[in-house]
Amino acid sequence: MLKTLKNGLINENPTFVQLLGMCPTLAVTTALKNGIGMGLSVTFVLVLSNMIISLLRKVIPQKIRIAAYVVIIATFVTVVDLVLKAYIPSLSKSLGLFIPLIVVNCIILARAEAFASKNSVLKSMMDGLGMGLGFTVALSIISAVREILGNGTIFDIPLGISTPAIIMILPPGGFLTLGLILGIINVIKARKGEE
Amino acid sequence: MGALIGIALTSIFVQNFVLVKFYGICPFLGVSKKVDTALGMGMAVTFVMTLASIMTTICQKYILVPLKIEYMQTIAFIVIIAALVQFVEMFLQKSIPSLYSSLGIYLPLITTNCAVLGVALLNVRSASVISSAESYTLIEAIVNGFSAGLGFLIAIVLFAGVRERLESSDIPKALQGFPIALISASLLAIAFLGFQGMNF
Amino acid sequence: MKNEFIKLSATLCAITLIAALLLAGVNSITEEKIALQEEETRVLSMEKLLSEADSFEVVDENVTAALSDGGVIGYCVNTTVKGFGGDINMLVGINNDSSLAGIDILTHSETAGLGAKADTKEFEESFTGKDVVLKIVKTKTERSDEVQAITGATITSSAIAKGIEDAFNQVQELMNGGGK
Repeated sequence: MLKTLKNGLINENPTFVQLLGMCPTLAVTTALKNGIGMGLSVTFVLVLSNMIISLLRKVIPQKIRIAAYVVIIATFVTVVDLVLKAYIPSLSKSLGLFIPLIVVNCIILARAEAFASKNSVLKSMMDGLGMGLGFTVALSIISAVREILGNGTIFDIPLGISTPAIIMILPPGGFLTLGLILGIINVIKARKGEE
Repeated sequence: MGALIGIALTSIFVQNFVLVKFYGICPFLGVSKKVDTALGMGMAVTFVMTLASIMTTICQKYILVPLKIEYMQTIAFIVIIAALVQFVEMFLQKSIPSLYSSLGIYLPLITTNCAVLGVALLNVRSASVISSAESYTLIEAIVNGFSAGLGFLIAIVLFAGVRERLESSDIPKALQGFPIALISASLLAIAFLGFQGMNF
Repeated sequence: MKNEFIKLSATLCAITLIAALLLAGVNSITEEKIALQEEETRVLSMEKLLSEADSFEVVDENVTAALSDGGVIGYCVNTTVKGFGGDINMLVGINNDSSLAGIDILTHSETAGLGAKADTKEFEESFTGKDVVLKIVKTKTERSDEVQAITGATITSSAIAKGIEDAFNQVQELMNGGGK
């Protein structure tokens, strides 16, 4: 069970290792609270859709499975969308269209197809949780870097940096941050390999 | 007419779907190793985005709003797009096999391209500039869908051109592959920042 | 073949039907809350702008009169201007003596880190008590007909100044026209 969790968090981290779900990863990571909000929304959808798909894995006919998965995922995404609008309107406003766009986040469909359709309910939920948290951690790292360097704040609290590099919270900064983080991961991996 | 050209220029350059708004990053990074394939993908996306804009706008205006079930929007749109992609695939295969053989392999990938769902959602959420309605008219939606697709096409072809050159360049080992591709994309995005602030 | 087709369609229909029912349920719970939320933010920002008002009365599509003891003390105008990155939707509070009670940026798509700073308390408050026709300057200013621009976002600042003028003109028109 814990192995499934760790798998999603580190070994097969959806963002840093599998490079899935890039759109929200780059678009909403301009502030830490947006990154965490997005990560948790995706985690919620992942856990529940994995659960339902695993429950129904013997009922859903092979031929229409993708269509069925998409409908199930879209349902939970709409639930998140409505709930955020009603209870955390500020977050809903700053994540904007990327909440409904969770539907087409490849992580969720990929986990449904590769894991939930073949494993038990509990295991699938663990997988969803691991992958979701892995995604959340990745988004938090990227958005923390971008918020500190680009806006001079963390969680909207000023850090006393007089002239932040605004480019970091503009679109180019998103590509740059992810590119450099992947580079750093490669260096760490190479070092580990040498030892 | 002027308003429509404004929408088109905004979607292609000022608010470029890939490099400014971050829609459709997956295919942008995934199928951009060669200019040919990038061109094929870009054309397929433009085609589907235009059709999807028509279908989803009609669905929103004549089904969801009258029935007051706007909360079904996300589900309805994704199902429409998935079905549309399937139909386009079948149609091309039967009627225009030459086009199918060049675009065919990209079509299934388009369903999960968030640029398509993104443009569909944007169409029904942006305020119309022609009439005072709350969402784009059908014509505005078609223009927006087509030009957003064109913006995608331009971005992915430019990017593929850069990546082809990267293949033969001397790059630090840690940055080879995706990292350097992302850094190049970043530079491309800086270029597109130059369009910011242009109002049409 | 035909049987299979029917079975597949039926399964998919059933799943979609359940999804629709579930969403209808969630929607009925959140719908009211969302509407309330929107109304609340609108009233809250009007109260912030014209804090002495005890009630509000809708005069026009975009204009709301602020009342205190039954008399009009000012107006709140909802106005939209073109900024740097797109439309800026804002609420402008105007006192009866044609001075500015304040502004509140509601939605915008300005550049993060530059124009987006318009939606901060510091910038919004720098308008309080100023004239309705404003000049945007780049230095600190105490004059009532000037306001300091956001660094690196003069276009956004000018757009907001224009929005204030627009709002004032709307109120003037309404008062002169005697409320059409």
